Amino acid sequence: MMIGQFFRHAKLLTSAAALLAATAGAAWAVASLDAPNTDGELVMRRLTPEQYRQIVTDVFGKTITLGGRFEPDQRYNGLLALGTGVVSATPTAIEQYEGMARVVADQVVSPERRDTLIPCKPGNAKAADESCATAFLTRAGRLLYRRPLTADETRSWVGVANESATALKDFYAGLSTSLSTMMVSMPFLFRQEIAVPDAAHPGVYHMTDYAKASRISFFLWNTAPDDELLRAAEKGELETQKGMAKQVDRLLASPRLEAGVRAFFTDMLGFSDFDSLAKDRAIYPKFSGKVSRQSEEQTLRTIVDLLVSNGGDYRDLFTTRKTFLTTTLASIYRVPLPRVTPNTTDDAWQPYEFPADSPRVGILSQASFLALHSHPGRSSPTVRGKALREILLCQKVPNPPGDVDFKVVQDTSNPIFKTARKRLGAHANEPMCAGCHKITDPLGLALENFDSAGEFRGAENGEAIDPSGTFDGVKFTNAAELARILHDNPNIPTCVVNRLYTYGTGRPLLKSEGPAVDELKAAFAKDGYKFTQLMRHIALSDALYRVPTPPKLLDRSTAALPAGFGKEAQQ
Amino acid sequence: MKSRHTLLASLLLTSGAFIVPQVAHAESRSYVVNWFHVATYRQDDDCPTGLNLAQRPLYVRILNDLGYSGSDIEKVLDGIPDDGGTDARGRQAREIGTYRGRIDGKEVDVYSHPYSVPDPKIKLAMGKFANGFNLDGKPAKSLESSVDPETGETGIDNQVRRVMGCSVQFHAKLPDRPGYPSNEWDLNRDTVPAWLMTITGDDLSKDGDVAITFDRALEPVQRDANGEVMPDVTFRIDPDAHAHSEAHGNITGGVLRVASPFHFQMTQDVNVVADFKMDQTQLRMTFNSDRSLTGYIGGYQPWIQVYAQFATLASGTEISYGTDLPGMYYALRKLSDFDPDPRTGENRGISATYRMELLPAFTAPRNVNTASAPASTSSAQK
Repeated sequence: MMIGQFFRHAKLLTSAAALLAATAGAAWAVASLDAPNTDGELVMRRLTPEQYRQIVTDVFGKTITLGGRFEPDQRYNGLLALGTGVVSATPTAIEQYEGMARVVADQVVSPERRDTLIPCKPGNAKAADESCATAFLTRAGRLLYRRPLTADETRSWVGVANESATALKDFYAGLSTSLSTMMVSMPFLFRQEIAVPDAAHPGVYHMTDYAKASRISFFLWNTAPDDELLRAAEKGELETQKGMAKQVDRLLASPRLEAGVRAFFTDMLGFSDFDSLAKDRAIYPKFSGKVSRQSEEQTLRTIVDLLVSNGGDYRDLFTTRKTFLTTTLASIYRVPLPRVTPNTTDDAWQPYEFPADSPRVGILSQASFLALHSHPGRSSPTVRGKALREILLCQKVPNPPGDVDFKVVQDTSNPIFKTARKRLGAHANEPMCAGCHKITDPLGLALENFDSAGEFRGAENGEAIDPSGTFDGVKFTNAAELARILHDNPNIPTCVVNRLYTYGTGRPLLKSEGPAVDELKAAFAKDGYKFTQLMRHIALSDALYRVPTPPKLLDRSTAALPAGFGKEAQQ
Repeated sequence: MKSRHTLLASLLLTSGAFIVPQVAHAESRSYVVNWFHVATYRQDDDCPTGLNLAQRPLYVRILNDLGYSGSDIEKVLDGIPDDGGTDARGRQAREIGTYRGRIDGKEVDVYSHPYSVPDPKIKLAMGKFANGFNLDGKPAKSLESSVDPETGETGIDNQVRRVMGCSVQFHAKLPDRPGYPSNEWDLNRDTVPAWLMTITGDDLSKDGDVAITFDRALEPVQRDANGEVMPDVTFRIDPDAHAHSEAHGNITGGVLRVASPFHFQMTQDVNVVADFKMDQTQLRMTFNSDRSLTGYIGGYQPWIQVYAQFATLASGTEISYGTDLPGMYYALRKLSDFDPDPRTGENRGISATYRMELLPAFTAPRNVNTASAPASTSSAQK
């Protein structure tokens, strides 16, 4: 590549990045952590890493690899999904997006893939070809933007492709430049949900059909709408309940529902924390990185098997003994699990059911929950109890005061306070601590038979562990009994309805949505707490697509690239 | 919760079905071998004249025996690291050592033909104590017999310890493992099928009779976060009869012993010959609070097999272990104490004891798909 050509190429990309930064910056002011979205505005949500990966896979195939790193998402009101509506993209993130986009685009136009992924061939591969560029960019752009490109957008992106192809004397390099630039633009990186005036009801707004299609798709599949869903939006089919039901049921019946369910529970259960989970290897030598990753996967498989494959009752997650293990993970549970076939690896998953007398009951007794909510070198009834309250019961537990003395709690070798119960008992004698510990500790102490790595133990420092306690006035003697109590606690299903609904809307629950959510809760109970039915109810509820108050809207013209962008790039 | 062991379990495994351990009647615990090496551990006053030559001094002696002058020796060894190194100069020196044997005036590989050089008369371990067993039932009668430092048992027969006990890499002090053999063991854990031991009895927490089986697994061990052998992993048993041994035993006071000597055989593990055989075998293993088992297995082995298992590493053993291999050969032959050849009268077997350390594991038959298959469990919820 000639130096002059390189600089022209670089200039195009730089312009796109600057555009993204400028455009996004204007939009971010709408919502931030400091000014939470409480009036029901539609939010722009940044794609999660998994969504980004999946869209690239959906549009260009499984073999496309990504380079670069994603900026971490932020948890807000218990969900990363809500955090994606209040985060921006730092200059570093934009650099990463740009790098990834170039890597993806170069693979798409590579000689081994271009015949498959590009629907036409240029008349001259060493020159611009407007017709072929238009064919490719409008097709790819529709899937990447989750709606058809506007005329301005088409003109802009084709212009970028032509200019670059001419400068570089390479049609495919031009296409790659345009595609990679498109992939660092706002409509791709952020889920822009557009509301438009309702012609039949002056003063009322509703989401566009494409915005609805995106909501359904990200909600149920955790990815962008597929061609069929976009086509339904295009035809106006999503404006009727019947049309919506047809698409929602299609998505629910698809194997891709698993990805959506996994995404929700990965978010709700805080599994992103596995990325930074570490245990003291001297104390928990079994808890390797492999075991850590597999314990996360075990719980997700348990959830998918119960809720999706078997259409099960959400509450049974707390009492099921059925799960999946690898021979490696079976070591944590101290259960026999031979390889099934000579070629089965240690990492192969097998269905497993804990025996009736096993203390392993439900997902709370799985290594994922136990390890994630413990300290690196010791278990923590307080942390576990807090997690249980906040994540699964949607109850807020106050943070500890800043000047707490944790010495007694942390001293696991204390000869007097041999068990966590005794250490916490001594600690909770402090009046300033007692209040919160009464909320958290009884639940967490029930799980003390499981150490920080999730292994079973009957005693701590030679003293038998007492896992008994009381929850909401009901006594239990061990974790299995607590699991049964939680199963029957009405706050368990109520919490997941709230979580799933806000996961769908991307913002905290509004007071005005109370009746709609109450209806969802009632329907959930009526359906026997079938989780996929709850997903269906939410996906088909008007509430999910409601635009409660006239928001600060982006109209169709601002959703497109600014007029003249392509021209500016050509200067 | 009261500690208890899962009873002999069986696995119901059909395609797509969940595995449910079933309770049966006897208790069974399985273990995976985490260390198996000759018990030549350091004892008080065992090598009063020092250890055998190792590394560079051993090279110097070998070259000196070959007639190299002092200056020639310096030339050969100049710049070579103590362990012989792996570069061209190191290889050259190793080749000289390897082909120092002479048969009919021709150079031969001394490790394959240890009798091709004169007996260098390596230093033998002495002293009162040796880990092992009284294999011949003759208490402290022979000059070779010793006292076991852990049990106080007299008449210990462990001639291999006498042969190797004054070589630097066989002279570790318990509970340490000898450095070089330990590295070698570790290097090969990921590729060599694991060895397994299973104990079955009515209640293994109490004294009583038990059945003991040894098997080889189809899989190697798995590693934990520290790179050590991971306990509580399930291994499929290799159905090869050559990798299976059985014994009757008993547990008394938390120590497992065999009721009567048995024949022990196993195949292919590192530091052990491809076909490991031991007669008149005895066993003494202690149940530890961390669920591991540690102890010894001893008996009589063909002394040529003992030589072979170390000679296969050739100069690696000689230089790094600090054992002149022809010297080992002559000593093993000389100190052999079992199975006289009816034709020559020369003993073919030698008493040996191996240190064995085991971790809890699960075992299952090779083909778990075909039927309800018993799986022994050692480590149930405890």
